[in-house]
Amino acid sequence: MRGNQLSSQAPLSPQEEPVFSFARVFWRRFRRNRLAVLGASILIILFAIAILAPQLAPYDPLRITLAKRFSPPGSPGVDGKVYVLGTDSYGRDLLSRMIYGARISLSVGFVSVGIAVSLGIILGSLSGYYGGIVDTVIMRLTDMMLSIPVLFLIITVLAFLGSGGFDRIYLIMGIIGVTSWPGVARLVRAEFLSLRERDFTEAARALGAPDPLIIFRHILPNAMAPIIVSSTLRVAGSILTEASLSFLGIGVQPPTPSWGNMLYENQAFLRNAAWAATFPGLAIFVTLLSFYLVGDGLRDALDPRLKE
Amino acid sequence: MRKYVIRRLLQALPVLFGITLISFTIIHLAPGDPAALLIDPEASAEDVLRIRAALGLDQPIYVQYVKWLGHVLRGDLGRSFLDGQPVLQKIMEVIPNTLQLTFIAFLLSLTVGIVVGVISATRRYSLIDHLSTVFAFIGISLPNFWFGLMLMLLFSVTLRWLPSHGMHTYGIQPNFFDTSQHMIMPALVLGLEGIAGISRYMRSSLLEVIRQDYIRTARAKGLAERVVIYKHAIKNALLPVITILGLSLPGLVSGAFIVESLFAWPGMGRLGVQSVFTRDYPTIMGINLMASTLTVMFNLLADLAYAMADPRIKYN
Repeated sequence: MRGNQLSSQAPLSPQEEPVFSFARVFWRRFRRNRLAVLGASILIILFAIAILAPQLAPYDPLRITLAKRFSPPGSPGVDGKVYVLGTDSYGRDLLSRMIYGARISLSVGFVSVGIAVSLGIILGSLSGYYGGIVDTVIMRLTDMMLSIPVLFLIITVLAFLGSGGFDRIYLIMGIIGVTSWPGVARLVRAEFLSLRERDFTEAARALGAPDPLIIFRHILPNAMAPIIVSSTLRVAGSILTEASLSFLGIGVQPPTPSWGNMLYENQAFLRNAAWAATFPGLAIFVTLLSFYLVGDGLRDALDPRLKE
Repeated sequence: MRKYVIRRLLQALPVLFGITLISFTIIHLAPGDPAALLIDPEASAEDVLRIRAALGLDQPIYVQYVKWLGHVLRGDLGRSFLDGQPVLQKIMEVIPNTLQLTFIAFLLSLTVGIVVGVISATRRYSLIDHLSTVFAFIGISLPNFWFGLMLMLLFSVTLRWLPSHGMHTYGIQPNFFDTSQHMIMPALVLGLEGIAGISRYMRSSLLEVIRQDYIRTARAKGLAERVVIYKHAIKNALLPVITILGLSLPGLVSGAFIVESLFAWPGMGRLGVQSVFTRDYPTIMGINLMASTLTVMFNLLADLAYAMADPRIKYN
């Protein structure tokens, strides 16, 4: 009864007040960046393609038809269908292989960044929140990781662990994730250094909140904007790393199609089947471009301070 | 300053130690026996054991590591499993080629990046500024191996203007013109990401500087816009760019592994990838150490350049 009175006396009920929910503000800012919206649309289509690969692919990506080797784009295929993007040196349908390749690229990108961001948040927040010896140790480790020529280390590891019994793609996700946390850790640490001095952190501490609660409930949510922006860009970086490894022949192993290993297989036929080395690379390029555009839009929308 | 350099070099030692420890452990714990690759499959079990003993592979890992480290400290990186040549000599043979390629790529990203950045900052929101934005997005998104393949397709396969592989034309005396022709595509591919990145940093840095009071003063006293920009603004705008340059150098070292493999450029990156495939442990370790040393040195150089360019920054 008393509660009702109180709420009816409030100057504006929640319904009358204009609603500026976070999502709406975010979307209004994000859609102003038309290139970012374009990038996001491309990514949504890519996700759909990756999920619906078995329904969308005209052919089995592994199906070899030697009689149809090096068919140029648009040539008639077996079963009355068309090889929209042509075939490769085994007569496999390029489009179908690229559709399945999207699964590899996107899953490697997201899983490895998930690993890197989790590690980076844990180490970066410990470092920034506690300071002192914890900070020194973690930051020395970070500096060390940043001065390793990581790509060569990954190449070495993959080449040597290749014969292990488990699926190679998990190894690739794991190793890219485990080697790319230092950038995230530095970013999170910098955010924590400034946020831990703020009044709301002080207030939480004064109320006797334990450290984990302060770190995860109070500080981390306030540090999320730059983390999300940099994660988006990192997904692109991981996708590129997987493609580079596969291009060198030590990433995803043929016949499983990945955009990188398709280039690895088809580069030798640049002279007589240029399309086979063109389209998979184009797919990598468009995907990376979309992630960068979306990252740019996210930065404008989530963290307007960073806008020039 | 000398003190600072010495202290930084000393700080680099544990980093290099850690890197070698990590890579040594990974390489030696991994399944796959280099002895098995070297010996013909018909060899008897005793032969395999003898070769493993000769290569020192029968000892515990930590013994192998300490021995390796001891040799490295005396300037000996061991001998290649493949051809018995000293690893140091092998690396020294190819490293000038890598440095040459990375240097040209670096110079390319520096000059083109700065020029594009200055032009788009001084003509903000003009057509050329928008074009350079688009170019920068494309530049960071183009995978270097695919960009290289497409250049090869256009300039080597279709137009036949440029050679697609190697550093010299086979059978002719190596000369400057020939090498330059071979270098155009690899250097462009290696430098592209830098051009894109540096042009963006230069643009935003210059825009930042142009807003400062002393630029307004310079304009107010009637200086020509050219003088304001080229004499007053650019110097200060270059400061943050120097840091970025330092940060982009490790990327060049990594990029060299891909670009050299693609264009068959006879450098350290290509040797590295080849030695991984042949499980040539000593060469892999040598290249790991060398590439890490280069990265650490480049970082130090960037910090020094930064401190020299800005007297407000103290060495500490």
